[in-house]
Formats: sequence, structure tokens, C-alpha cells
Amino acid sequence: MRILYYPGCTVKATAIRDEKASLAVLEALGFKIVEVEDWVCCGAVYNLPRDTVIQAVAPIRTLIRAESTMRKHKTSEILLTLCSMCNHVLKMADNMYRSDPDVAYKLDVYLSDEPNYEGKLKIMHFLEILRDLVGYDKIKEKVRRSLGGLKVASFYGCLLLRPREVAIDDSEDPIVIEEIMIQLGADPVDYPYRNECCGSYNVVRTPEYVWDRTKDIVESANDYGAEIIVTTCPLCAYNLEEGQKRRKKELKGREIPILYVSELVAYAFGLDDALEPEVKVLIDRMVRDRG
Amino acid sequence: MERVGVFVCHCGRNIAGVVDVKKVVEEAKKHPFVFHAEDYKYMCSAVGQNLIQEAIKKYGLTSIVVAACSPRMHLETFRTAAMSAGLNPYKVEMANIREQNSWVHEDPHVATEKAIRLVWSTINKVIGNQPLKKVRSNVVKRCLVIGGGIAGIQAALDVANSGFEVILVEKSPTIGGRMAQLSETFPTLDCAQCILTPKMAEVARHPNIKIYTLSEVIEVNGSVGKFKVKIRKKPRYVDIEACNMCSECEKVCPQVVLDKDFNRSLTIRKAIYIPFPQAVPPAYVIDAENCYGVGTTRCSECVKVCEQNAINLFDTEEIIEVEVGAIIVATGYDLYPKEKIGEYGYGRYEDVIDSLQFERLIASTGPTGGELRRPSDGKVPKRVAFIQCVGSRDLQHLPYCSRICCMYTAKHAFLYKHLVPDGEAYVFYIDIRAGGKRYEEFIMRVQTESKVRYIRGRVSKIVQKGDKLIVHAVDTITGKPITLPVDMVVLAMGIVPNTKEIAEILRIPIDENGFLQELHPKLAPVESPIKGIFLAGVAQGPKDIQDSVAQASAAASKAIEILSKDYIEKEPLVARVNKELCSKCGVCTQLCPYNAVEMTPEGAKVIEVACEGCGTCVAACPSGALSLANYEPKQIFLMVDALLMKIPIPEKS
Repeated sequence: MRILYYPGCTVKATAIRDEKASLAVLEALGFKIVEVEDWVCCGAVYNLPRDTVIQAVAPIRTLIRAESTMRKHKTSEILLTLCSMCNHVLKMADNMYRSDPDVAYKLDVYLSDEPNYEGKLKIMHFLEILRDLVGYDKIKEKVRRSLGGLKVASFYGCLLLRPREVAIDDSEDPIVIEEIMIQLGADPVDYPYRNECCGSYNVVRTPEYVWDRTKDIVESANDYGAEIIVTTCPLCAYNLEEGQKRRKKELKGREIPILYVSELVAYAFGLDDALEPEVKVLIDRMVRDRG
Repeated sequence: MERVGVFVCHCGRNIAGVVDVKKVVEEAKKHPFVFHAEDYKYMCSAVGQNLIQEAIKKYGLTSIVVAACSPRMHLETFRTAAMSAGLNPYKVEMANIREQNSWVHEDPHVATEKAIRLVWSTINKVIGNQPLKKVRSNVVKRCLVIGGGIAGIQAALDVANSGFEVILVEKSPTIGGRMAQLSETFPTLDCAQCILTPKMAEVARHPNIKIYTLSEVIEVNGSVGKFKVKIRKKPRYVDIEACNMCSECEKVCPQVVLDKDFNRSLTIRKAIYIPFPQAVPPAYVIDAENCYGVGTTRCSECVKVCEQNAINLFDTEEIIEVEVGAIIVATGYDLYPKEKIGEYGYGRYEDVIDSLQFERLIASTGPTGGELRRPSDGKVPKRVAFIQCVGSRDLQHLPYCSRICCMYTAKHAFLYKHLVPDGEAYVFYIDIRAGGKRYEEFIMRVQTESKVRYIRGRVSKIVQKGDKLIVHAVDTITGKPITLPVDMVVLAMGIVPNTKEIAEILRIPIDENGFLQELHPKLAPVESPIKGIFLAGVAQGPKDIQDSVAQASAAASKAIEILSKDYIEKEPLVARVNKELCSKCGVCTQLCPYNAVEMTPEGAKVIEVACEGCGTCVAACPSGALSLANYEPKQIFLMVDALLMKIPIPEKS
């Protein structure tokens, strides 16, 4: 199956690890990935008011180009996203365009240099593709190396689960990452902070606030026995990692590694080339230490 | 030969301000059957009625058409007037030229033309009307009350005290309902059991009341005055008359189970048990699901120790058939399950409890004997958060306000402070709805005298950390987020009605939230759309004990109104069956919303007292065997002809 792929800025920079692992996993599962031509930044923020649509220009521009890529390369209508924020912004903009003709008209005017957006795409997050297009059973079949009961804390963050129109799972009791981890032979940890917000872009202006939040999240995961935290959001990953360094004292030096979901899947599939060497070593050591 | 009189009303300027009434009179006179037509300022006035009566006598009129307001307003007035002039009331019809014409049209020419068509159409109908007589039937002087909570108890007592027999059906082993589970009641803080048990005892000893516990209504046929009811009575395995409550059986019973119903899983009981000491009927009951003795393996320990020989492990289900004249539905409520509220832990945290669990924890009859201990480790909680509107007023759960939670939460916080004077109580609320006699004063008392801290804001999440629960909330007055570690959380769960099955059995409608639909929200609040079935308590809508009791008495008085009559009289505008055409397919019996069509070996039969003349069966009958009195197809086609006839629109003047 040929699917469209929208990376977004962060995935091409700080979160390149996620891209490498995710694409390798999907290719191993038989997908052919076609990157959207001339994509632009999603804008990183979705604006709720309907009287200013300027924030939707960038994501809609990307969606228009995705449609052109789809026609040119004859792909399916599925548009893969990896980053939670890109996924959220693209879906919200798509929703707004389709549900509100006034907004759609305004956007068409703003984007008069592009063809009109036809609204034919189906935007899907990496986790949705694994769950809905691949299925848990097929993931299990592909596992070459079990994670040996590794205690994994899934961290969803907020944007994958809210608001309801674009949520990939139940916002209060999500299970998709846990289900995938079970297929890989890991032991998911049920801790209460897994669907909290990490503090997100407040890290730019009020980082102390973010370190407070990430401290609570890591502490809770720790209390419930987590050995590793996995996420799909580059910003969550950064905040959780950096937060642990900043709050080292309060956390009493118990540092939990933060990895992407895709990295654990790639490891279990035996796709070593898709992993950074130090990540491979880290997981090897953790699995081996468990005996 | 029909001689029709037409009377056009001005209704002051209501009609005459738009419709040219003189023109309507003129055009009506052109109808071949019309012998007399006139207009008057107010036809409904005594003078107007007199006018009609005089005309009937003077011109020997056989049918009357009054062109005025909606027949809902004055059809009875004109029928009565015509009747005293010697006319059959069913030879009187009204053409609605006010609500459906002058009030909604601005152009006088169009409105006048429409009025003329409506009058002609009504003339065409009335000439085909048969002079009918009202239908009469006898009344069974017995009332069925479904549900043995406080509403059902009150209704049963009121009807029984008026001298009528009452059948009280309750699905659990005892009457008492939710009120029996409560500790104290707001705003007066009477102990719930203290004020409820005298009423329960009165029901138990009342010669006119027959109680069926562990029973459910499974089938209802017939109609007002004579409903045929089937009741399934499940086996109790203990003879109510013989059991003397010595409790020997309970002592030897080896099967220990969670007390899910009365004590809401906070404690355990045996498989042979009594829900609470004042239960009515006062007898033990075996929980067949958990007993070793009923079914294949037989332990029979209880049978061996029972000196009264009251236990029969071979007891079986019974089907009881009764006839009643009226039915009162008071099936009460359940709490919305806390397991559906993800942000408050989906029922995962032991010390996050619902409001009825809290009632049991503080009730002197409860599992802790009235001492407040939290479920997880039995410690006295020193800081408790009470969260209001859980499930209620939430578009993801229940869109409506459950009405009782503000008051019972205030009561909870108040009682908590009495049990744990050095404890801290926090109430999180959206706003306080204390609309009731002495309710606002009670809230004030709780806030000032008991120093309960009210925080206006929603709780976003509860997380467990060690033996504490961390409440994350926002104070919307200061605009600040709050993180509050507490020992216990009480969720003021919304209430949901227990109506789905009974509504299907009785074929009465429920609203979008599952509450039983009343006939009119203001003017007929205890009547269901089916005659003879009345509603009481939370089954009809959220309400507290006060309102449930008031509504139960209202429902009882409505039932008594029927039971006290010797016969029931109703409109004869009912469906009729042409037996020669009926193929007995049964479509009509299934579609009738009033249970008014029965299938007999000779074909469909309309129970005239039950039929409301809605016409559903007539429209559905594939062989055209059904018709509606005074709405015969011939009449309807003539009406349509008149509505579609060519009348030149008068030129604008």
C-alpha cells in the first residue's frame, strides 16, 4: 500500500530517530512511503477561534500539496503523521475546512496561488495505522525479539487525545500504545499521568512550569515501576528528558530513559539499522538485565 | 336531507382583523347543504351560543360548523350548546380559522380564501358525520403500583386509604427503595429510616395492600378501567409467614458474598440474608445465584437449623395474573456508574466512592455502624473532597441536572464535619442549585456553621499517590489551578431512571434521557399519554424525596379519580373493523400505541374505551378493513376536494 507521509520540521531535526524507526517499521509491514512534495511547517499551533483562520493557512497548504502528490504518485488517500502536534494541527485544520464553508472560502482566498483543497485525504497517525490498518495480531507475528517483560510507561501527552473530534483513542483511558507494547512482549505500566500535558511549548517562556509538570509525570511513572517511558511526540520527549535533568535532585537521581514507540517496535522487529546505535545498546542492556 | 348551519366568529380583531368574515359567510351560503350562515363578534360568548341554539330550532339544522379558533379551545362549548338545542354533539364541527389562518397569515385576501376553503371542507365533513354516543365501560376497583420506593409507598398508601385495593410490586426482596439506604435527609436532617420505616410498616399491615416483592411486571394488556397484568414472582426460598427472623440460618450459611445492592459493595453478607433489619416483608431471602443449596449441589445447612421449617430450597417462580383499573409507575433510579468517569479513576481507586456509598458509610445502620472509615484501609479520612455534578450537566455523560446533588452534597459535608470535627471538607461545584423550601438556608448553614470549604470549579483529574488521592482542580473565582491531597473523594453522581423495560411493557414513551414522558410538562405532569397510567418519583424526572412524595400523592389522586367512578365514558371517535375484510395479519395490534386492538379468532377487535382515535391502525391496515368513526375515507376525500376547489381570489380592494 502506498501512503503519503508528512514529516514536519521537528521530525526532520531533533526527532530524526523517530522518523528512521517509524518508516522502517512501516516498510517492514509492507507500506510504501511517499513523502509529500514541498511540504511546509504545520504551524505547530491550532487556533480555536473561527474568526481568524491565518493559522490554518500553513496546514491547508501542506494538505493541498499532499493531494497533488497523491495524484502525481497515485498513492492512497492516507496521510501518515508521526509528530503528535503535526497530527493534531493537520486534523483540526482539515476538520475546520470541511465543516465550515465560510472558513473554507476565506482559506481559498488566502491560498489563491495553490489549487483548491478538495478534502479527500485521510490523516492518520503512526499509531492509528498500526492499530487500524495493520492490526495487533500482525504486529505480534512480526516480532523477532521479545522485549522480555520490560516495564514500559506509555506517555500519550494531550494532543493525541484531545479534542474528541481528532482524538486517536479514548481521552481518559487510551490503550493503543499499551496494546502495541503487549504485542512486543513488554509489560505496560498503568500510571495516572499517562494522558497529561507535559507543559508543551511553555518550555520556551516559562520552563520552570514545565519542569514541575514533567517531574510529576516521571515521578508517577517511577512510582508504578516503569523502567522506560515511550511517547510519539518530539516535544514531550524533549520536555521529559530535559525536565529530568533540571529536577535531578527532587527525582533523587532516578532517571528514566525516554524513547519513541517506533524505536521499541523497530527493536522488536529486529530492524537494527533503523536504530541509533546507543538506543540499540540501551534497549539490549535493559532487556538483558531483566534476564 | 342535511341542513347545515355555519357560524363565523370574529374573535374580536383576532380573526376579523385579517379575514373578511362577511365574505366567508357569503361563500358558505353557496354550499348546497347550507341553510343558514351568520357571523358574530364572539361565538363562544353566551350570546353567541344562544345564536346557534336559536338557529338550530328556527331552521331545523341537522349539522353545525363553527368557524373560529382551534377545536382544542371551544369544541366542547359548542357541542354542549348544540346538545341542549337537541342536536347530537358529534354533528358539530369547528373550522380553525384563527390559529391555522388569521394568526399566521398577513395577506387578508389569501387568509379569506383559505378560511372559505376550510369552512367548505368542514361542511363536507360534518354532513358525513354519524350521530354517535359516548362509549362506556366498567372499572376494576384495584390499583397497581410498580416500585416500592418512597414514591410507590406513598402512592400505595394514598390509594389504599381511599378504600381501594392496591397491588404493590417491588423487584428487590424488600420495599423501601433508595430512601432506605440513606443516612439523614436534607434540609431537616431527619434520619431517613426513622421517617421511612413507619410508612413501610403501615404498608405491611394495611388490609388493602398486597405486596409482591422479588417480582416484576412482565406483561400488561387492556386499558384504563381494566388492565390485565402479569407479574413474575421469583422464588424467595423462605416462607414469609413462617420466618421469625431468628437469624440461625444466616449464622450457619457457609457462603459469604459481597453486599452489592444495599451496602453497595462496602461489606459482605451471607447467601441467606435480610437486606436490613426493618425490611418489609420481614423475612430472610436466599440469593439463588450464590447459594450452594438451590440448583444441583445441596448444602441445606440453613434448612437443618430452621426451627420454623420456613426454608424451601425447591421454591419456584410464580406467574400472577391480576386485573387493575389504574397503574402508577414509580420505578425510581440508579446512580450513573462511576466506572464511566475516566478522569476520576474509572472506579479504580478504592477511596473514590459514590454518593450512595457515602450514605452507607455514615448511616448508623451501615457497615461501619455510622463511624466514618474509608474503604481502603479503614482509617478515618481527615480531609475529604466532595465533587458535584459528576456525570450530570456534562455533554459526554448526562446532559441534564440531577437536581438533588447540590443538596445531598451539602448534607454529606455537614454530616462529615459532625463525625470528624477536626476534618476538612472541600466541595467542588459549578453553581449551587438550592431551589426549595429552606434549602438555601441549609446551604448557608453548612458553609458558615460547619466551615465546609466551597470551591467553585471543576475537578479535572484525580490521581493516586501513596495513600493519598491528589485532586487536580481549578478555582474559577481566583483563576488559579489547585492541587489538593485528600484521604477520600465522594462523587456526587448524577441519577439515571430505571425505566427502559417497564416503558416497553406498558408502551409508554420515554424522553431522550430515559425518563418517563408525562402527558404535558406543566398541566398534566403525573399522567402518562396512556389513560389510566400515572407517573411518580424519579422515573418521571429527577426529584428529591419531598417532590417524589408530592408527586406520588398527585398520581394516587389521579388513580382514585378513575377508581371511584362506576364506569368510564369516552369519546366514540374510535377505529372500527370490517370483519369481512380483516385478514388477521396483526399489524394493527402491534402498532397501536394504546394497546386498544386485540386479535380474536374472528379478526381484529377494537377495545373502544382504550382507542384514542389516532388512526395509526387505519393507515397501516393492508386490507383496508379498519376505518375511523366520523373520519371515513369518503368524508376525507370530500374535505380534500373542498380544500383544492377553484375559488377565485377576491380582487384587492
